[in-house]
Amino acid sequence: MSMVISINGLYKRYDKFSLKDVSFQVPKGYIMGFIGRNGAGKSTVIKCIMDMIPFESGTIELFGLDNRRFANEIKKRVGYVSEEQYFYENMTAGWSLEFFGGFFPDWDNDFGSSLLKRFGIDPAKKVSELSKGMKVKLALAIALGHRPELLILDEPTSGLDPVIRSEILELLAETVQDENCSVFFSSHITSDIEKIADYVTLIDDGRIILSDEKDSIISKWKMFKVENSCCGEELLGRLIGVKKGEFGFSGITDKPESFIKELNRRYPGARYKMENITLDDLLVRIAKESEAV
Amino acid sequence: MNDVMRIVVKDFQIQAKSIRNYVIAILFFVLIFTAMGLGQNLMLLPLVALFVMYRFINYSMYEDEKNNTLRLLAALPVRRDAIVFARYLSCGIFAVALCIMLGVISALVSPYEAGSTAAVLCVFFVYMIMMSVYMPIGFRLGYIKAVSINRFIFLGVFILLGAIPVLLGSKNGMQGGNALEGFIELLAGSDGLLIVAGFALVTLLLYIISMKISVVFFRKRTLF
Repeated sequence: MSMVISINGLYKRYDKFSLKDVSFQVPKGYIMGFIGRNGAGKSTVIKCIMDMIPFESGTIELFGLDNRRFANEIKKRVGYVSEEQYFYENMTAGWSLEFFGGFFPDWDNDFGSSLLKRFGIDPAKKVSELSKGMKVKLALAIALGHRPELLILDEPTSGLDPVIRSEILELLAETVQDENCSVFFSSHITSDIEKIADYVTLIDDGRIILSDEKDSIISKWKMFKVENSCCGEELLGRLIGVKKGEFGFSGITDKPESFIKELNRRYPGARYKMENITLDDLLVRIAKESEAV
Repeated sequence: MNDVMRIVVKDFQIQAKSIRNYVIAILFFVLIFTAMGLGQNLMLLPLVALFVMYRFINYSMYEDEKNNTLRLLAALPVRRDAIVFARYLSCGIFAVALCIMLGVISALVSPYEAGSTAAVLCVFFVYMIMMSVYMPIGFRLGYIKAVSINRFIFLGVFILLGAIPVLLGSKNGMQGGNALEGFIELLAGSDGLLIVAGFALVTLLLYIISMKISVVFFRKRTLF
């Protein structure tokens, strides 16, 4: 399987935060969801990918090309939407589409304009008069108007209402139906990722916690709810993001068989519940675990 | 259209209303002065033009800073050098266009006044020097910090400009007045052409060096 993004051993240091040994790959023709809580390092990774900020060590390749050496060539093949939308507020949506889109050699103005129409954006309207959702759609029209091979979206649905979020997700799903286009989509709204992503990468405190197929993650990770009489340290150590309650404790693990075996060995006849987890559970539990550390 | 020209055109488009207003204001002053028979007061116009040119640089930087559009440009296939070249080019084109306009007005209203042509040239040179000083700071630190630092620098430049004609004037027997008047007198003098050529060369050199420095600064600048 060919990869559109390949990151190896990425380190980026700030005073109070750093990316540590970030490594993962995005396969061609799929949507990868990049999840993590606010401040986990999602935007920093994306800015490194887009060569917007320098990094200390590691390699980033897009389409097999070094992202710093071939920055311009790569950007011609990528559509990017940032968390905040940056436009000349006094200019119109139509002008913005033509001006920013015009930097792409393969820019298709008719297609860009048709996207504006589809999104219900009046090209004659000033950017300052557009809502946040409309600005995201305008940014998407610019990002898609040159038919990119890779779409990189940095929390595009953050702060939007469910209707607009749903429309944007639909559009992304449509985009990858053309197998030449891949999507790398960061969000802390895990339900959005769960809806459309084929692959998921989870980052916390600047480290990649896991990166795998979404279905594989969901089937591999299980939530255990166990009665308090089995609350031994050796058992708790096998779970992540443990929460203790009045009657029992709960936690998640990606080795459910091993956990059940150990539970039965130490506490024969112990009562427990094993449940499937959502990406939201996974994110919350992993965040809780890192806070405890 | 290449990237540089695209950004140059954008600099004019985002200021279209302001430019139109400035041109109208200048023409209005010309009409008033001419109607009142104050042709010699047209010498004041280049000073207004200097303000307008400075406003043009400020506004184009301010728009990018306010809207954070440099961040979006950084995500597009645009070389940072192109952004810098375009800014220098648009400010240069605007200055040349305004100076031509003032030159034409001077020629029409007071055709035999060598001083008015000299005043236009003087303003152009001063503007080019101002721009060459201002831009690298703007590209290094951004508009908000640059505008504060430049206030102090320009104060120093104007004091210096005031001193040069005084010093040169004492050699040529010319009494130096304020900075610009002294400079204008110098350019309108008998050796005017030679001095104009000298200043043109110096300002062009300064402009090119400034552009190179801005490119280095802007490449290193973290926009995020």
